[in-house]
Amino acid sequence: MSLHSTSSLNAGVGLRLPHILEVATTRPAVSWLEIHPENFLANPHATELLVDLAREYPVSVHTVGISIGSARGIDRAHLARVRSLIDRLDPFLVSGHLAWSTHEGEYLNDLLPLPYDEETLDLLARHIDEVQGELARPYLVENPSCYVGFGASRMKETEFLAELVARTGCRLLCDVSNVHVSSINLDYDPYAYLDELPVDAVGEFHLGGFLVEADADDASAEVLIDTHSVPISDIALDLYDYALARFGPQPTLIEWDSDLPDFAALLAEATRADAVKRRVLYREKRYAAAG
Amino acid sequence: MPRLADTQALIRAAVVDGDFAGTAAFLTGGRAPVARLRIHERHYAASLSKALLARYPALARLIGQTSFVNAAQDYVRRHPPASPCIAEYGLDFPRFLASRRWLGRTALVLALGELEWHLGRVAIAISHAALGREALATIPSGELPEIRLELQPGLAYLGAAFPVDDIIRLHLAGKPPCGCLLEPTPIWLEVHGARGEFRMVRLPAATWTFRRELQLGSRLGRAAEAGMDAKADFDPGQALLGVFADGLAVAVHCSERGI
Repeated sequence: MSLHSTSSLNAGVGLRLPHILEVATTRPAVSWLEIHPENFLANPHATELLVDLAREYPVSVHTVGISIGSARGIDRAHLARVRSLIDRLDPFLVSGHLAWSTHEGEYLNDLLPLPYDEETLDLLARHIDEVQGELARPYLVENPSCYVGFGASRMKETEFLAELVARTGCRLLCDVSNVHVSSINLDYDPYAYLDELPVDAVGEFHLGGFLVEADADDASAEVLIDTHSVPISDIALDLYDYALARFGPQPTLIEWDSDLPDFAALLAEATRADAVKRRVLYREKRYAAAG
Repeated sequence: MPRLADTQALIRAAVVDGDFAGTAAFLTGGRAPVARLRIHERHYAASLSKALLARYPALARLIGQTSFVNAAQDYVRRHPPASPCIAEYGLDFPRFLASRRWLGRTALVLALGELEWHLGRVAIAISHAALGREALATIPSGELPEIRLELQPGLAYLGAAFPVDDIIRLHLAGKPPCGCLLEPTPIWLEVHGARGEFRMVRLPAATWTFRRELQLGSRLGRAAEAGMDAKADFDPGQALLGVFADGLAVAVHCSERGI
């Protein structure tokens, strides 16, 4: 499937293992599916079902374990395994995170934050080049949800991402919910953040739910936790509206990873996102008609 | 200003070991950024403990949920995953659990843990088309001892000193193990799974030994000898037919050719 045709796709959903048998059996009306390869590489049966589903549904591969931000280097053995799965699925998108998760042979099962400076930029550019070379396709880099920043950062996250795009030709996965989460946690304007991302580089959106907690040592403040365990907030959908107007329609994914509901609940979330897209397209059409 | 590798080493110590020393010097965010880093520490311990609980549910029922979770949280700090595929994590957790002095029942914990690990593994296997006994028809009888059989991928052979298969059955029925199941009873177990399902069959010791040797890749002649070592009147011919009758053989490999 060419990237050109993907902008017309309705919202897709993340396919997690508890749902795969249902999806394989019922073939629900969902526009596309995203998988984490780490869930399938150690599961031959699920892979068998997935390869069959990939003949019917467009599939996106969203890596969580390549760890392009690791100072000690990416996990090349894991990258080779991901490549083997990609060869079988021929996904229309392959993406990962602006984060690190491995350290000296240990996998920390989380997406950990990075300082934004020249050293990190050089490292990530090298790693993205390597990933795109191994996978023989563009890699979409997702903006993270952050709880902390670094005094060593010398550029904004948007500047950092734009420079990665310029150096490597990678594309961006704009996680709209992450923009909202980080903007609250680190106190910046989420709309300005979207304005600063390079328009032509954004090739996908993510939407996921988050929880609100009292901030440690500051009960009067809140911290948002990116759990993917609840429905998408209306405030994130408002930001999605803005993102659609700025970047145009792009494949949009509903992420739900914890406290997984019925698959029908995920489809209902996709319907909510599609309604926002229809509203934006209608509005843009009217603006265009009005000159 | 620390280099990125040093920064990541300090964050790793915070997330895995709970050692936050040195992190305040470089973190920002909120009034207490170090406390924010605890969100990652909490996620690390909770997500991996949850993965172990999903992998060993009968073991958790046997020793008690609280004891299990406490041990799991200790384990994940001492033994971080080596791979992003979390389904591959926790193979040695039963041994870690059994080593805790307060627990007791070391052999039972090890045996039940080993069985649960293999149940998780075989249930996600695929199955290949099984060969019939006629696959042997073209092989000269003199070459038979030299052949190797390739068995279904979703097979495991476990010897245990306790009736752990019955403990699993009770667990699946939502019941705790009764006292009699906690007494030593040697069993020889074949676990066969594929595509989300599994079955457990107790085998005679000699048959179990024969099949296990085949699964390990031994020549048919060697597997037959192992069976006869286990029981003098073991009949390798009948045992071989049983392997085909149970649909376990998927390929026959001669020394220089595959069939």
